Amino acid sequence: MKRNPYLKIGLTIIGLLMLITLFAPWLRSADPAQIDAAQLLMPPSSAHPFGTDQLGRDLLTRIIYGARISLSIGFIAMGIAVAVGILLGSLAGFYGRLVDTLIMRCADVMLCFPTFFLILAVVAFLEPSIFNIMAIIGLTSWMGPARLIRGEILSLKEREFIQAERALGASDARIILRHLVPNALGPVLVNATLGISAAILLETGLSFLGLGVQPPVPSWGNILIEAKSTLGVAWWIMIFPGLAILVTILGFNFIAEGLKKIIG
Amino acid sequence: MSEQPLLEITDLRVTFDLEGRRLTAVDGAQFSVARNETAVLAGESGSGKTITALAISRLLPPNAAISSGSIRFNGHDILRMSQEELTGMRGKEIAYIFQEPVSFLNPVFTIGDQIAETIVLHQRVAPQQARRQAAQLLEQVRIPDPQRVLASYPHQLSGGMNQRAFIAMSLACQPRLLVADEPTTSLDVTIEREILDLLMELKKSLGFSLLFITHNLAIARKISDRVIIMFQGKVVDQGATDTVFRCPRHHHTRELIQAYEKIGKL
Amino acid sequence: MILEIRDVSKAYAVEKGMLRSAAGSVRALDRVSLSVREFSTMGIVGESGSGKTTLAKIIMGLVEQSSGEVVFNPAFIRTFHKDVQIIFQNPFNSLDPKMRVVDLVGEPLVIHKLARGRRQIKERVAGLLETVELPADILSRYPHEFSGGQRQRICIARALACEPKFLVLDEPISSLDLTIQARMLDLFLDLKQRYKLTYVFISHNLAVVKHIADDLVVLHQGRVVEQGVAQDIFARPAADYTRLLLAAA
Repeated sequence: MKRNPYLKIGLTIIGLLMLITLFAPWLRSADPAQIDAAQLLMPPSSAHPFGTDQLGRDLLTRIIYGARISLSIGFIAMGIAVAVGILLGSLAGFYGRLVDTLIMRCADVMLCFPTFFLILAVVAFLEPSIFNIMAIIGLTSWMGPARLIRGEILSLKEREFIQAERALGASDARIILRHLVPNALGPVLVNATLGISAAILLETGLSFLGLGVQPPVPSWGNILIEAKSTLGVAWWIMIFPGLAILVTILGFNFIAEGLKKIIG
Repeated sequence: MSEQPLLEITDLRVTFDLEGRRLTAVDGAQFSVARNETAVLAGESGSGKTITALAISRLLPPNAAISSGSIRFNGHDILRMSQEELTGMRGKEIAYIFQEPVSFLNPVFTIGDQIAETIVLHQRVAPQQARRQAAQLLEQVRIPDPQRVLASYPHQLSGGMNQRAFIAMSLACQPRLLVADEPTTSLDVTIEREILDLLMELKKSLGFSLLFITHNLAIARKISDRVIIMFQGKVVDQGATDTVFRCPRHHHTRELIQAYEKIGKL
Repeated sequence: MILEIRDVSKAYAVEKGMLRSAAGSVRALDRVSLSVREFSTMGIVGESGSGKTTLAKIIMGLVEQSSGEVVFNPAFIRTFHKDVQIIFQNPFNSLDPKMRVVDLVGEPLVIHKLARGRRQIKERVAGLLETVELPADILSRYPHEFSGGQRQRICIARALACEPKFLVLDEPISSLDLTIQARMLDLFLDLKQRYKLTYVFISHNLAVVKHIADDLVVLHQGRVVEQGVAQDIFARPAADYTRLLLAAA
């Protein structure tokens, strides 16, 4: 039922974004790393719609390739978080008692740390590869989905249809995987969608600090490093990555709003 | 016997707007309830009986509309009343009791508070006076130890007690018509008996008309003067209870009577 | 005897206050004993608070009794979860809302390995639906598309998929309209005869129980107040409570 303007707009934005990133090489034949010494810091023009940066690289291309990085980090990191969260949360909710206490106290401990600093600390020790960033963001974001799924399962567990499944002789694994988790997914999906936004912002922040994606691989975050030093001279280096981030976050948040409405 | 009926429903049509589709819940209902009469509105789920009952004081959900017909109560045209007149009438002239009293009672206020609130709202008396009246009402509905119940919260009382308290609340302002929508369906059989007896007693002493909605004809047999059978939004049969039982005119009435014969009575 | 319940009691601890200290217990069942003859219908009658639903869950092993034994005769009941099934009161809550009819009714076939492959399952499910007088074209529909009576039939089809010998029916028709109740009762009687089933039929409605029960147990506040052959009890109720129930019906 698409009387859901938020969902429509959100899906349109992200849909377009994903199409653009998928077809990046065909859309823009320029090489994001291509240095053109003659075109340093040029404002937007027909040849370079978003202008060029300090090394004469086309900003539009860099932003499109940066989108690839950000989106994949966002999806994969949240994917890891949701997978770990669903696993731990459903075990905690279903079995209760000791298992529940153990898992939830772990979650509480991790929630005590401000996520960003936790990630900073870990990243400082590991080399900042894209894979590491995804893994770290994912492994420090599982608590949200875990709590949500645990809560849903706690209440679903006592519903009659679950008792009926037990009476049929269904195993624990079957009950959890086929019956409880599918019915409990609603809030987790909303949380996961918002989590993608958060993951993208996290990555941007890390890259901006030099601890994330390393140049010359373009990421919206590390493009902004340049923006800092060229602020007065080249407004386009700050504005366009910023807008890209804004639109992407907005898109995912709109989808989350739309999902909230569907779940009711 | 040419006295004007208390409630007169003529050719009532209620439609629902569900995401673009229009559903007719009530399709040309027609019946009346006389003063001091007990009428049973019988039908299965989906027959439109609850919607009809709610339509009487225009308590329909926002996506429902009365598309045609007329409702006359005590000489007034309900469909032409202003919002103010309607609110003044609800609770005072027409009162309702529903199936699950616990869902309709506020869980964070005591029974005493809630009954007193209704009294203060409609009769504009001082709170202490209202509480005294509330205690009297609880006695009227045969609640033992009214003071304790006045101070209790809904979740502390049994289903039967809550229903009695709810009845007390609805009779607080001496309405002319009490509409009871399946008030005993979720109660035990012995408690149901008590509540039905209580309603009959109160009706005799206070003098009001009772429109009782149910899917169980056994209740109609026990308490009503007239029975109105609804099926798929239409009134398919009506008349004096004995007559309808002896000479059912519609096949659905016959089905209901057959079911009643089989498992509605011993 | 296919089932013997010996001196079964169930007490729930009552926790009071913020620190949840034990403050006594509630006896849901108090030394209940009864025996069910094979291929008969045992009616269990009681009002709310009588313990009848607790008893149903204890028979099904969904709740553990505090004391006493529940003994099924191994001559009849070999694989518990297959041979013993239950139909719950509320058809709106007994089916997983996210599953299709074919998956719901077919699930026992998968769990107990009674059918293999998508096609076999579909065929068996279609057959089961026919048994409960539901059209075969509803396989890919979801529970919310059906009425109470239809959902209850789906639950029955699902229970029958296990090829059970013993069925616990916990107020299976109480939340349905009266005419549907009558039809369902006929269905139950028909199935019992066709598949040689044994029933434990729980209800608060004496008229319904009279229609279907061979033997009768009357429960009141967790205790057996009267038991015996149904006809005898209806004709000559011995206990006061039984007489009260009969008078109110």
